[in-house]
Amino acid sequence: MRKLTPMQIYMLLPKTNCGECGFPTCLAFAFNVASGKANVFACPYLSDEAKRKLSEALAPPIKLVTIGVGSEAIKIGGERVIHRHEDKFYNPTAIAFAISDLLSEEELRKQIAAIENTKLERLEEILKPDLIALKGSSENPERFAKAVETILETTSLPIILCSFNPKVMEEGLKLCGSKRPLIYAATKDNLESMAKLAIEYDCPLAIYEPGRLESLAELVKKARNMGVKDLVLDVGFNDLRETLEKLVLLRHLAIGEEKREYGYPTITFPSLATTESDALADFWEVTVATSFMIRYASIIVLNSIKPWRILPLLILRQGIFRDPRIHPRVKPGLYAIGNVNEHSPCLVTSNYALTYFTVKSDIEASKVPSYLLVVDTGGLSVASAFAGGKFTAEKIAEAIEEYKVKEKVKHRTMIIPGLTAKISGKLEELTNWKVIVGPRDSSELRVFLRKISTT
Amino acid sequence: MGRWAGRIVEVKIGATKAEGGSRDKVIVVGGETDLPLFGSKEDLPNPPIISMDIFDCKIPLPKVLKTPFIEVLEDPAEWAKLCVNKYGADMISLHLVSTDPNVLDRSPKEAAKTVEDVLQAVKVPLIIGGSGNPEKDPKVFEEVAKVTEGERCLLSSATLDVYKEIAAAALIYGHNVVAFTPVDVNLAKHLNRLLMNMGLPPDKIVMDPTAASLGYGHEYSFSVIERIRLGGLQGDRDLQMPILVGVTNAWGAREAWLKDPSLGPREYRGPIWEAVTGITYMLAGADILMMMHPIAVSLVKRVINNVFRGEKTSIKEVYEWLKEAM
Repeated sequence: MRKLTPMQIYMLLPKTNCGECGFPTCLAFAFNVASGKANVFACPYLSDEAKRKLSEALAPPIKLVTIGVGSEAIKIGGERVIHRHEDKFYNPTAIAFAISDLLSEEELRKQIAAIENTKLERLEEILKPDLIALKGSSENPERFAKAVETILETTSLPIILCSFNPKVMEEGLKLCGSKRPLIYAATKDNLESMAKLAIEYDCPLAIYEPGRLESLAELVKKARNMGVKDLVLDVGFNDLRETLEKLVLLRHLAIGEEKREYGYPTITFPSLATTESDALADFWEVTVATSFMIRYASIIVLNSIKPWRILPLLILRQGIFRDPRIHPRVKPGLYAIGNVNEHSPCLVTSNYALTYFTVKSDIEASKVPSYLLVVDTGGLSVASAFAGGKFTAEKIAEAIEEYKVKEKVKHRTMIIPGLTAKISGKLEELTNWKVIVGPRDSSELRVFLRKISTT
Repeated sequence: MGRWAGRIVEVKIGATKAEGGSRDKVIVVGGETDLPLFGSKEDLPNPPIISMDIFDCKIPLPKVLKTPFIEVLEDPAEWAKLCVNKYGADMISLHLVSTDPNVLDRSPKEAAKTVEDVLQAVKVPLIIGGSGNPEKDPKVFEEVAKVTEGERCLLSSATLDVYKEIAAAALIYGHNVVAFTPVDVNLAKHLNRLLMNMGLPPDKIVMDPTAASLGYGHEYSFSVIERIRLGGLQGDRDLQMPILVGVTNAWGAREAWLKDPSLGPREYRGPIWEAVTGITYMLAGADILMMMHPIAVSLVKRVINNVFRGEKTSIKEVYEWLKEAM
């Protein structure tokens, strides 16, 4: 990996210790930049020479490419590692839906609305598709332009313009070139004209080359020499394994071997996958998209916008692109699960998101409406927080006061996780509540809560 | 690429008549010298195996998951037959849930009878799962291991709390052991070491590092599996065992079964949830996938046949696709 030492970075800084970057000294700033905790461009006084050197040296081995403009713009690439546990994955795989310029204007609007309406809130994030891929099926420049117009009127989602015909592409770009669409695609046959369009409209350009990776690298070099900076690679899709192996190899060549001609984001088309069996046809596109996403595709293009198809992909993406060093957490507080009343049982757990969701779903399965008091353990699970002294009687006692549990329930009984049985005496002493030690594993809550609610 | 020093150990499950068992064939897992897709075909000598889950008593299951097995839910032997003959299971994982004192509290002898019935019904190798009750499991495994002596089953599972009895039963009666740990590379190493200290050789151990459902810690499991496999390939002998994942856990996610029209029909959501969960773990290096829904099994098999066996899948030309109005 291309990396600068703190001293190399320090030498390029103004060394005035002005503090405007948020760090007391230029040296402290340099250390934080080197470890990835600070952005070097937070320094307002970098010389042009320093800027050039730094952006070159600190650039990720896979180029960051932006599609679209404004708040809906999508960033892809910018990756630095092969496995997420080595650091993290930076820019989530963008999900695109394909529509064709053969559709009527009304049908286009309907499909775009369906894409726009696919939204899901989960773990305090909005999950949704990112791009519209317009297919120039008609091969007719005017019809293509008309469809672009309809898209621009209907949505601000960024666009992938799909046509191998430069004339068709140009008509589309005349209308939306200022919105930075992705041009799909240059091939060995049309590279020159497509590259010219990419330069003229300052848009990212996809290169399609289903043959050997070396042939792809040749096309990359040609486009780069012509002056195209932002490229996206399509290695083709003739066979699932072959495409997956190429995606893995590209990642390895770009990051492991620092070969710049391979250091670009990728676009893939699960939409091309078909099955001979009708029973599986509906499922297969998602299955293929899953394997592409887990093995480094930067964009996946899909045919169908059905919610059940996109849901697992959105959730897979949210997880895989989360920073593995940060434990996802939920807000501490008192949560009502089910149709609670003042006699409902009250349980306590940690604010590690996964613990919370597991306990919540086990309480739901018991069909016993309950209150769940979530204490702040810094996002650690019950077992880790207990071992690390972050799940204590004092903390629970404080949380009972802070979240006004006494105003919600008439009883004074708290159910604590079985793993933390040791704190029950202390907790009773501190709160004057009765403490019941619950099961060690929350899956047993189903039986446990039913037993409690019938006695 | 041959970039690694280490090799994953090969574990044999099931024994033929010649070897003192009664199975049609022996299943071999492990033997990898790279991650799937990172190396060549030679790096992956044994494709992943699908074991289909069956239970020895009625347990609460989502409707969509129950439907394909509705006729056989109370007959483990028939259930096993259906999985092997109709859905193409490579192995059967029989879970002796009924032995739990909080369920039916069936005796070890009754459990052993069920295992014998299933062994009679199908000729594929067997994974035998306990109820997870730490007091009861050792007694159940001792009895079950005894009556299946020589069949080289895979006993699931030893945990950090309860491992001695099950390792002893495996050693005496010639079985393999699943070492179950909660999403933690170091705990997985630790349990493997404890088992090896008991005298269990590495080629009798399969790791279950916990397969969380998609959306509920899936990314943790994914990274733990990748780290375990890379650790083994880099030469860490305590991590060179094959990996088993309970993909059926996917159905624990509410998104898989919840009745909610805004998410689309449950008939699709459940199977795809299980398939996505399974495929991701398989590409991270998992060797044995315990699964349940026939559609999910078909999808994962399709990927196995392509990625690990080189069978071509049909794909449209991008030029053709561009021309289509839909």
